[in-house]
Amino acid sequence: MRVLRQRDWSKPVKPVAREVRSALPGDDRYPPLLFVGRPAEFFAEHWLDRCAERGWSAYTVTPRAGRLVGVREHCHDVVQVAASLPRQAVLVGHGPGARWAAAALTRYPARAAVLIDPPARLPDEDVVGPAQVLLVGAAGRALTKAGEHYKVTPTLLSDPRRLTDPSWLYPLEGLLDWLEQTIKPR
Amino acid sequence: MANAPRRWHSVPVDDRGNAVCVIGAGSSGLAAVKNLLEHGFAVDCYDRETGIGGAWNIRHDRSPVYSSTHLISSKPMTQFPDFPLPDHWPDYPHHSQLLAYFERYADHFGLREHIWFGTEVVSADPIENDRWRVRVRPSHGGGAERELSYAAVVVANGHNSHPRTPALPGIEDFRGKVIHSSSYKDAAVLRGKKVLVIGGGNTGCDIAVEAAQQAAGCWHSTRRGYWYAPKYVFGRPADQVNDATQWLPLRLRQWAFHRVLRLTVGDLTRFGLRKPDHKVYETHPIVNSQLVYYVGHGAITPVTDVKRFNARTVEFEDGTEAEPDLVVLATGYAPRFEFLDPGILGANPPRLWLHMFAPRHPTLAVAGLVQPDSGQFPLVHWQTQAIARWLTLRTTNPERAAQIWAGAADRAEWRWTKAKVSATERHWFEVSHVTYLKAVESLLKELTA
Ligand SMILES: Cc1cc2nc3c(=O)[nH]c(=O)nc-3n(C[C@H](O)[C@H](O)[C@H](O)COP(=O)(O)OP(=O)(O)OC[C@H]3O[C@@H](n4cnc5c(N)ncnc54)[C@H](O)[C@@H]3O)c2cc1C
Repeated sequence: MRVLRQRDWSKPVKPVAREVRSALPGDDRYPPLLFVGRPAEFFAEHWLDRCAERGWSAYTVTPRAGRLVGVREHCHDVVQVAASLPRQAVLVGHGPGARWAAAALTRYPARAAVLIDPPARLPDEDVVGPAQVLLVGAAGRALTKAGEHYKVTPTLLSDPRRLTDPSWLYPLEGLLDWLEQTIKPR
Repeated sequence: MANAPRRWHSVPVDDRGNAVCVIGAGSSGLAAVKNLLEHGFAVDCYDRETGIGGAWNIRHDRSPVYSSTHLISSKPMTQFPDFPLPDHWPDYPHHSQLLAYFERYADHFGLREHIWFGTEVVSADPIENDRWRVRVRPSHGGGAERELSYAAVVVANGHNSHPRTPALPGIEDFRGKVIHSSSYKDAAVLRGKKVLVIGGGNTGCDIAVEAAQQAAGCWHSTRRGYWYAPKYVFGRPADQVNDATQWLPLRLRQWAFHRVLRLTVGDLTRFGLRKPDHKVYETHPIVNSQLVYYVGHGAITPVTDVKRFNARTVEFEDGTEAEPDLVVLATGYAPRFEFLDPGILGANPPRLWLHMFAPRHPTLAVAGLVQPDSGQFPLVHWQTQAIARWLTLRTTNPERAAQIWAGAADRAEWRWTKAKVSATERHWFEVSHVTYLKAVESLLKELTA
C-alpha cells in the first residue's frame, strides 16, 4: 500500500494510444478477463474465442514497448485498460505479462488474478483490493517464491513451454474452471 | 441479514445487522460504498437525489457547478488512486466528464445495487451497543418514513450544498438583483449586465472571468489579496510541478513558488490587485490563468471588501463605488449535518480526528470533509479505506481497536497542514495533501499491523 505517490503525481506516465482486442459472449454473467502478455496476438488468436465460448468476455492488450519503458509504464497501461472495462476485471498475465499484471495488482483492485509463469522478482508493494490469485507454472524457485508472496499454493503445469503451442488449450480450461469456482456468476 | 422487525416508537425498526449506512452518493459516498464492500461489509447508501455524482451532477438542484466548470486540480492529483482517469482525457477535465467518471466507477465496482436513490436521511441517532438508528424518507414527498438500525454510519453528505451568505450592510435596500453562485449555471445571466462578483475563491474568479467575457462590466470584490496560480507553468500542470518540490522544506518551496509566480504572473499590484497578506500554501490555492489577464485588459475592476449597499450603488472599503445591476455572491458554502444531533460531532466547527472520526462515537465516520491543496478524491479514497479497516478491526480485534481509539480523542484538535493556514471560517478543514495523507497512511498501517 503506497499512499504517497509523489512520482505519479509530479511525473505521471505519458499517455499513449493502446490497441485492445476482445471477444464477447452474448451475456456477461462473469467479470471481464484481461489478458496481458506479448504478443497480444497469441491470446487474441487462441484464447479469447474460447473464453467467449465458455461465457466469459475476454480482452487483451499489449503494453507499450520501447526504450525508457519500464514496469511503471507497463503497469500504467494495464491499469488504464482494466479501468476502462465495464466491470471489475480479472487480470491474466503470462511470462512478462505476469510481471506487468503483478505490478497492476498493486494499483488496481482486480476481481481476481491468474499469473502464469510468474517472474522471480515480484513487486514490493501489497496487492490492493480483494483479488484472489491463482499461480500456474513449472515447478521451480520462482513459482515457490510467488506462492509465498501471495500466500497461495501454486498449480503445477506439466509442460508450461507448450503454452505457446496454439492448439494446447489445457491451461486455459483449467484456469477458467478455477475462475468459475472462485467467482460467483451474477 | 434482516431479522424480524422490532418495534421502536411506533415505526418498526428494520435491524440491518452488521450493515453500514452511507449517507450520500457523491464522490465521497461512492468511495465509501466501494471500499466497505471490498472489506466484506453489507452497505445501504442513501441519496436524496435520483442519480449519483453529488456536486458533479449539474442536473441536481444543489449542484454547485456551472456549465464552464473544469477541474482546478490536474488528473493525477485528482483521480481515485485505484481507478485512473482515462489517458485520452485532458489535464483538467470538464464537469460532465467527472460525472461520467463517477458513473463508470459505480458500474465498474457494482455499486448501484447498494444505493437507494430519492431517499433522504432524516436522522441518525446513536443507540445501544454503538449502533445507529437511521430514519429515511422519500425525498420528493409521498411514501412512508422508515427506520433501520445499522452497525455503523458513514456521513458523506458533502460540504457544498448550503450557500454561505455573509452579512452585507444595507443589502436589503439594494434594488438590483442578488444571487448566490450556487444558482449561477451559465454566463447567459451576465450578458449585458454590470456585474459585481463578491468572493475571491475559485468560483468567484471563474465567474469574474465569465463576466469579463460576457457582461457589460465587472467588479470583483475580494477581502484580501490572493496568489493566482496559473494552471500551467513551464508547459506542465502547475500542481504537478509543485508536487515535484514537495521534498523541499516549506519555506524554500514558498520562496520558489513566489519566484515562479513573480516570473510568470508578475507583480499583481501593477494590475491594481492587492498584495497577498499571506504566503502561498496558507489558504486554498486559487488556480486561474485568466483573471489577471482580464484585469490587465480592463475587463475586471478589482475592488476591496464591501462597506455597504445603497439602493443603486455599492460602496467599498477603499472608498470606491460601483453601480451593478447584478451581484453574484461567490461566498462559498458551509458544511451542515442536519440529520445529526449538534453534540455528536463535537463543537461547531466539528472536532474530528483526522477530519473523520468523532471521539465519542467509534462507529460514526465522516468522509470528504477535507479541502486539500490538491484533488479531493485520493484523500477520500484513503479515508474510506481507513474507515473500512477500522470497522473491521473493531470486530476482529476489539482490544487492539480500543488501544488505537484511546489515542484518538487527544488528536482531534490536530491540524493536517504544513503551512499556518489562515484562520477564516472556511479554512478549518483545509489540509495539505502530503501532511494529511502521511497521517492517514500511518493510521492504515496501525490498523493492519
Ligand atoms: C465549483 C467547484 C469546483 C470544484 N473543483 C474541484 C476540483 O477541481 N478538484 C477537486 O478535487 N474537488 C473540487 N471541488 C470539491 C468538491 O467538493 C469535491 O470534488 C466533491 O464533489 C465532493 O464530493 P462529496 O461526495 O463529498 O459531496 P457531494 O458531491 O456534495 O455529494 C453529497 C451527496 O450527499 C447527498 N446528501 C446530502 N445530505 C443527504 C441526506 N440527508 N440524505 C440523503 N442524501 C444526502 C447529496 O444529495 C449529494 O448527492 C469543487 C467544488 C466546487 C463547488
